[in-house]
Amino acid sequence: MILLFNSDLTGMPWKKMEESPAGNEAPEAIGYFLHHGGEKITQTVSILSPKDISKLPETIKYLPEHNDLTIKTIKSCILKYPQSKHVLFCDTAFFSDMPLKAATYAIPYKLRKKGIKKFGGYGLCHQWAYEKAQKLSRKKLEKVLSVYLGNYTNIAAIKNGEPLETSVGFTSVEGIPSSTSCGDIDPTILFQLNSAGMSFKEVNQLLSEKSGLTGLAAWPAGKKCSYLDVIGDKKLSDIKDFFIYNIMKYIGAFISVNGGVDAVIFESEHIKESKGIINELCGRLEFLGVKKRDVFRFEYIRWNVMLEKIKNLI
Amino acid sequence: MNVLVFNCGSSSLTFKVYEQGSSEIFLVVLSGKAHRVGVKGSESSFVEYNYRGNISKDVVNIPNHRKAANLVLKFVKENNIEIDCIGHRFVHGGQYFQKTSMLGKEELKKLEACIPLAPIHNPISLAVIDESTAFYPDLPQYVTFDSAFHSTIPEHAFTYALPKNIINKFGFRKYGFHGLSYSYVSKEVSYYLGVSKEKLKIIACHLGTGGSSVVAIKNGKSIDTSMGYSPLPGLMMSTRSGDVDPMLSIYLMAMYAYKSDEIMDLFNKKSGLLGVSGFSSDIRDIIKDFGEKENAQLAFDMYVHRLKKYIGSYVMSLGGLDALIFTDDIGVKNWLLREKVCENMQWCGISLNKETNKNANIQELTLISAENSKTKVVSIPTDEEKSILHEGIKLMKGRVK
Repeated sequence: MILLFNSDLTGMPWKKMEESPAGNEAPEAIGYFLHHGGEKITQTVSILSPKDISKLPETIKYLPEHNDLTIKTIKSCILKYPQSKHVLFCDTAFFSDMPLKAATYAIPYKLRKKGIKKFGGYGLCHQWAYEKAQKLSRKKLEKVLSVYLGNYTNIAAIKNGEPLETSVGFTSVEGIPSSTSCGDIDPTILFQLNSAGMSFKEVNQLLSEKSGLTGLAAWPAGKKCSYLDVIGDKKLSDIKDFFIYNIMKYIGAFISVNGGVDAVIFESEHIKESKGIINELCGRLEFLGVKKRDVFRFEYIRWNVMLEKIKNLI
Repeated sequence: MNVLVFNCGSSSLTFKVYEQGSSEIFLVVLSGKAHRVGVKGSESSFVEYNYRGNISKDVVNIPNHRKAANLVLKFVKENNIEIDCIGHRFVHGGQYFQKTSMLGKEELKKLEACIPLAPIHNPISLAVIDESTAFYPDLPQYVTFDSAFHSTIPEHAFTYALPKNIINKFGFRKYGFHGLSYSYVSKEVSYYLGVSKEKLKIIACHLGTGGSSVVAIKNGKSIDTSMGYSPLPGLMMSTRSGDVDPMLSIYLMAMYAYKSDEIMDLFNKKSGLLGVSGFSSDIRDIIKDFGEKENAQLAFDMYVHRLKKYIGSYVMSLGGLDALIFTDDIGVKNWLLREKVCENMQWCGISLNKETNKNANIQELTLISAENSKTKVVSIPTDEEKSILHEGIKLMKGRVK
């Protein structure tokens, strides 16, 4: 039996994958998902050693609620199942060796040395998708764009398998607007809101929970607007235009720093529903000579990818 | 009618006095620039004057723009140069100003209300206006705004993904700046290429010693630009951070007890080239110290990397590219920067002629792309003062004899 944990805002969902016939025995392996590994966790998938475990608390400051919960879970599982293999997945690790010119913010050193840099996100997804596309492709994929479509749409530029850029920043708020967070905005706006009487706690909540596609849709009773709503609901065509425009800007930016594009990979949990938007994005890339055979579409289900990776390890 | 034009940059003050000839032709009788105003660096600050062909240079401490304006106004008075009105450039007029306006008490109040929108620029423009009023209390003055050129940006490009009610209440949207410069260089380049601007897809990079931005121009109209609600976001600049994760400031306040105005000050005045290099906000100093100082190369590489990203974005916005323009001080004078930005850009039709690029004339328009380059690359000095003059002529007609 393999047990997987994946913290989210509601707590710690977990799944028992491939129940073994014996039933109550200890899991063969347990996988944990860390959204933000800070500067210390640099492997996307790793079997946890005691040394790794000692590094984990340093990551808490970057994503307090999630990481605290994950670390507690890891510790109690290790106590309970010392014989099992404990596998850590880290979604920022892929970007840990991104070039400095891409990862650095143009802010003073005294701020940068506090661990402020672009950490990126969805590293497991982008790395997995790149490897899968390379296996399927006859030619070597040098200049690759990896586009994750969903409630946290984000893009990575990959050069010869190495990370070159990501739309996700220090936090997942930077980049393309998500279902509820604002994406790229002028930082001056935060201070304007504050000087109008809003506390920074309220500003934080506004930008991460009430903005993005949901903020623009302005549905009654605070109803959330998701990725599927935007690509499916014809009444939201203005928001869809805005969403696509923001994706295209990142696609252009990353083709530019990569010096061209050999392949574009799209990943989504809702790959079938995403057919329309993917075709639209590809249409806008035609003038650059991007052909159908250069485009890959993969369904990305995090649990399944975690399971696949663990099986390769044990 | 003689017009004195003041053009405030964040670290410079350019000025010109135009004298009207017998017809509608205006001649420059005095021109010049105060350099390195309020800049920390190895070189000292100075004012250059060109008065009817006589060139002089005044090396003097210029701690702020008020002092710079004071020096110029003194020069004008001491040389008995006649002026009928003074034109100013104001970066951000917010919701108060959509077009060029005469300066009166009401307008002055509104300008003051605009200060927080551009905390570096608006106060220095006001200081220059203030100093001008002190010298010439009875002369008419007018103000031009940099955001006007970008009023054509479509909704999908000027929108921030914030709650609708907040957007409406505060007027949060992308405004964009350097409009006077973009208006001038795009006209000049379309004239030079012999193609009407309605048929051109242009990306123009206004790279100043203070602020820098990029614009995408289609059919002669701005469709997107890198600065935003304020002149802080976008490219990395001499002391401004450009794009950062919006959560950075909240994190710094929550974890390290920074105060909000401290962070605004850090992002606006101590970031960018200065923040990364750790020793200078001047790209020329930084290039000089490659290999000598640890972060000089990183600062330069970041500047190039971020500019390439914006060019790529706007190639997508335009659906192609006919002309890439480099302008203003850094854009025109820095061949190494242009060479690096244009490296590996064949994907969007750019190929540079390295020789002509290296030897580009900083005084005039130079075509620096290779002969077979699908996209034309041009280096051209900007002339914002000319744009300010023309705005003033339109406004002053009938007012002054």
